[in-house]
Amino acid sequence: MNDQFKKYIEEAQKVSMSATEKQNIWNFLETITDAPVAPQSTFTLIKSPYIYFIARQKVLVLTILALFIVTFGTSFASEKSLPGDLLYPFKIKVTEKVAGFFATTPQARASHEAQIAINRVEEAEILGAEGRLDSSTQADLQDDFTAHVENIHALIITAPKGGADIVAQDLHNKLEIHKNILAEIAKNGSTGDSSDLNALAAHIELVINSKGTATADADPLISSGAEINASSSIWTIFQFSAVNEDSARTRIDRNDRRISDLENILRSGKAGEAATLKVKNQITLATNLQSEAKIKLNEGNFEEAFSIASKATEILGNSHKYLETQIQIKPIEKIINIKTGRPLKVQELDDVSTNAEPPNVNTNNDSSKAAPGGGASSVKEFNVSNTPNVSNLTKVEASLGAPAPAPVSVSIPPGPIPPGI
Amino acid sequence: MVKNSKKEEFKEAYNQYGDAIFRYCFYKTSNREKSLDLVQDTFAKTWEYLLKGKEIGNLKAFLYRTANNLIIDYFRKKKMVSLDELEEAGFDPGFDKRDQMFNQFDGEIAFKAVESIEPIYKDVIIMRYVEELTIKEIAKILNEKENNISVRLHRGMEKLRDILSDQEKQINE
Repeated sequence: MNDQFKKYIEEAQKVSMSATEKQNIWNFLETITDAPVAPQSTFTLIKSPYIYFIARQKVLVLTILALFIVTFGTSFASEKSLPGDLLYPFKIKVTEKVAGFFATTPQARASHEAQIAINRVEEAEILGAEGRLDSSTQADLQDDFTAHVENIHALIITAPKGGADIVAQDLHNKLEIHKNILAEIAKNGSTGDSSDLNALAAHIELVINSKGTATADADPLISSGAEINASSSIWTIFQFSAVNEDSARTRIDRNDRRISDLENILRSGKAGEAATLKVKNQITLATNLQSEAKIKLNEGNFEEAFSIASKATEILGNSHKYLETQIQIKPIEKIINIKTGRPLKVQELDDVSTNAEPPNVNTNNDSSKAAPGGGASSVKEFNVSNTPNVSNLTKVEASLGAPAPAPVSVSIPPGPIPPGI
Repeated sequence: MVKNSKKEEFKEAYNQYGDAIFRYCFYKTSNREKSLDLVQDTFAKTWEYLLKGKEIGNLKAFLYRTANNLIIDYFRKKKMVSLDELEEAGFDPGFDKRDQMFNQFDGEIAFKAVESIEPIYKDVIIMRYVEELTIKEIAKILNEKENNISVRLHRGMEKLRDILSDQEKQINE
């Protein structure tokens, strides 16, 4: 076996290329080895266009993720910030506003506003306890607090059945607690001047103590929400913002603009003779009230000026609604922000609920005349028709002199007048 | 300069292993012309690999492995075309010329014995005894464990021994 196998191996190892074959192959290989090195691009793979899409998608996802982390991280960090802190503006302008985006129902929005209002009070408490609450900060916090309370007010006006009044009751209860906390801090805990804390506590005290003193004539639009309990704590909260020169002047100025608007409509000639005559009479009446309100304003009697101007507002509002029934004009709530008086933005137009019944108020001219001499201790009389089922047309006509349902006489005890409208 | 030195090394490798690679290809394909092509391709691919700046630890094993891969590719492509189709196209497969290389009295018996055993044993026997590769090199070329190569070689040699013994007995009788 060994010999055979050895012979096999010897023979097998003789198998080889001939010299010519070997040289031919080398000649070919030499063309490769002597060739210049191919440029790198020759071997570069052509990238799929989808690579860029995927790459961009990755960048986009990473960017969104980074933004998400940064935004929510900052938002989370800013939650405990206080006035004067670096993140406090972010808390006010971003975190709280973003949280409001998710509140869609009136109750949720009211709850959100109430939470912000409470936040302001809590911030004042912490600053007070640390002795960092100065007059300026206290004023800022109070203004912001007032603004959010007014927002709850607006929510009840636009959606009386939205549950915002329940939230207002809850806010009222919380304010009771915070009033005590503020007083306690002012007494024992504050390391600085406690006068600002006392001022804020007094404000809250005012709100709580005035519970039930407001009445349906606080504002004609409010009175339209007949289902709302007039003694609800929300009315007291409105009074947090006491009437001042600005609110009275704003109301008077706004009435002037409304008078001008109505006159423009009448000048267009679309309303017809009878309607024009009726509305002109009402404008005259409102103009007289405006003059009276301006006198009170100049005398420094802002509450009285505001009260008289409010009656003019009511007359002008009813006149406008009457014109709506005569000619096709836009409802007044839809062109003017009832709170600020400026034209509504598109987004705000959606927020204005058409469910809010127009006021059916039969103004007693005699009572309006009696008001100026009434003073703070006088009882103002105002006829309010509390009949929400009456159609707009009937109610408006009733307010302009046509037969109206029997009015309910409401006595208004003295007290702070709700601002804002 | 680097390229020139690489070319010298490459030429030396060709002179040293060219015939061995040819022999390996020839034993696997039984086709001289194809084996020459395979040798050319084997060295061309090795040069491309070197030009990319990659390191080759064992050049001999690398050449065998490249040749082995090219042979596998060759058989895969060959399978895709049936012999009938090739004959219809005028292709003459010829015949296996390897037996002509052996003197009938010197190695014919052993040649037939090697050809008769299974390819997995035949390959390692040829690589070990004809090509004189080490067990380690064979394992690397075939991508197998050295133990497996040793076992295959041992079993292949036993089979070869049995066949040759039987043939010797027949001749003597």
